[in-house]
Amino acid sequence: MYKVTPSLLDKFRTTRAGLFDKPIEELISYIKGEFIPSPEMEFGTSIHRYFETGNEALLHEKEIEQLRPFYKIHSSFPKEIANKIELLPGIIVSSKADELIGHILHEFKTGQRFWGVNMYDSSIQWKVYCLLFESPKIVYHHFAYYKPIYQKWANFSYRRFSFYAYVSMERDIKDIIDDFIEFVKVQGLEKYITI
Amino acid sequence: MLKFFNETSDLRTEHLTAVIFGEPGIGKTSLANTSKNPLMLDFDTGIQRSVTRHNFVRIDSWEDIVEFQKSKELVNIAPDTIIIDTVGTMLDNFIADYVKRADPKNARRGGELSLQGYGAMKSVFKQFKDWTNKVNCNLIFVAHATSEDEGDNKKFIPKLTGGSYDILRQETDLIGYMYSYQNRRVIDFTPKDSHIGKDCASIGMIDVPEPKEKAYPTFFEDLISRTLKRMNEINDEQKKIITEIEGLRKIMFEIKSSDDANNFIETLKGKIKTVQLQCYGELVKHCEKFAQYNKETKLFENV
Repeated sequence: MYKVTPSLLDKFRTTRAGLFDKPIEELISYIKGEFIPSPEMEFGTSIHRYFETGNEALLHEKEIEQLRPFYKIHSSFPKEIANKIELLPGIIVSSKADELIGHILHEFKTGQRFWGVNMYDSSIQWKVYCLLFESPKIVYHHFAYYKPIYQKWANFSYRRFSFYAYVSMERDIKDIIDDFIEFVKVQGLEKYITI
Repeated sequence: MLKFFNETSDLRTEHLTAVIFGEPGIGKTSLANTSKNPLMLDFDTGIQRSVTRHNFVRIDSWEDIVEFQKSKELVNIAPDTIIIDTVGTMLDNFIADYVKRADPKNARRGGELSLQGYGAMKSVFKQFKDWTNKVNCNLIFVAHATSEDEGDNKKFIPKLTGGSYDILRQETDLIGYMYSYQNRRVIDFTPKDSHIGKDCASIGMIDVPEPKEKAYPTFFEDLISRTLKRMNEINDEQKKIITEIEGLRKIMFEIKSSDDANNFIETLKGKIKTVQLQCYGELVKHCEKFAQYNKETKLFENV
């Protein structure tokens, strides 16, 4: 049985399309689990943790000041909801969504800059989430941050945008899974995704 | 201060914002005019090429819009739909010029918009969109298509500058790409690798009827009605599910034994997936002091 995740599929999709000029070796390392999070990602994790648990310890008080109104709106809703389904014979797709409110998914994103709605639109992540959680809509909350060198805290800008589940979504996901599995087999990486 | 949206507020949707984008001369303006009682704000003299003509106002500067919003003409026409033709010209030329004139800090030395300028443009755009809601109108943006490189792929998107494009994307509910396909005119609302789309009502790709056909005069009006109906179904379901989960949580917090917990699991089995997933996690957490969840039997056992 193989296990795939939306992040694996997106890494594969972007590398195959030649986006961000990432070499194939980086994708292979990612599949092998040899992934080292950047400081930027670690800061993103601290923000996620705050939204998830209210733990303020990892953020500066000025950052908390900016993010608290968002936390207050979202604090009572379930976070980190996990699910998995066997989408194709012998292939389990597994994922964890940041938040579910009713039947609408909410995903928190952070980054030093906002790369545009298209980057998220093209991703397989929201499609897999909508399918796995039987959700008709996903809302992205993007926090771009800027930390001037003379300042100890980051300033945030916020964007909210959404996507809807659509008719041929499941087929699109299955197509990319097929391609990904083929790639894994050609590269001899099956053991890294076998459960 | 950052502004956030209350995610559980009552979201009955009476109006929507749509984008029709596509090849030049494919009939986007005419198609937009098949919406309900439309009024076109013509930024591009596109009305001259339209096969369907309704009320229109020629716009020469953003001040014309401000004036028009207060005019008796608007009251007399009482439109149900406002069409912006084209949104690229409206945002990149008219609103951009307007904000640059309003404050020199909104422009860089080279004349292009500054970061602050994009913020100001977003604010003017948002005000305009809110105004269309206030006057009870749907809003349709017509745009030319351009292709964007996405690695080795080419993707068709509405033709606007980067900042304007993101403003538009954040504010729209329905996006369709109109093009020729096997000698037919089609509009595709499905998001694809080859073009963007937004489609909550499962419209997918459909043929655009010819102007002589019976379905043509209300073609886009029907698509808007279908989308609004679905958006409201989603909102109604949302309210129902939130209420259901609140009720289930009350029952769940009363659980004091593994038997009660297992009975609750039986109750959850009849619920939809999103409800089950949200309750399972909380149930495990709630029961951890007196019961343990057995992943194999999928039942709680006494600790």
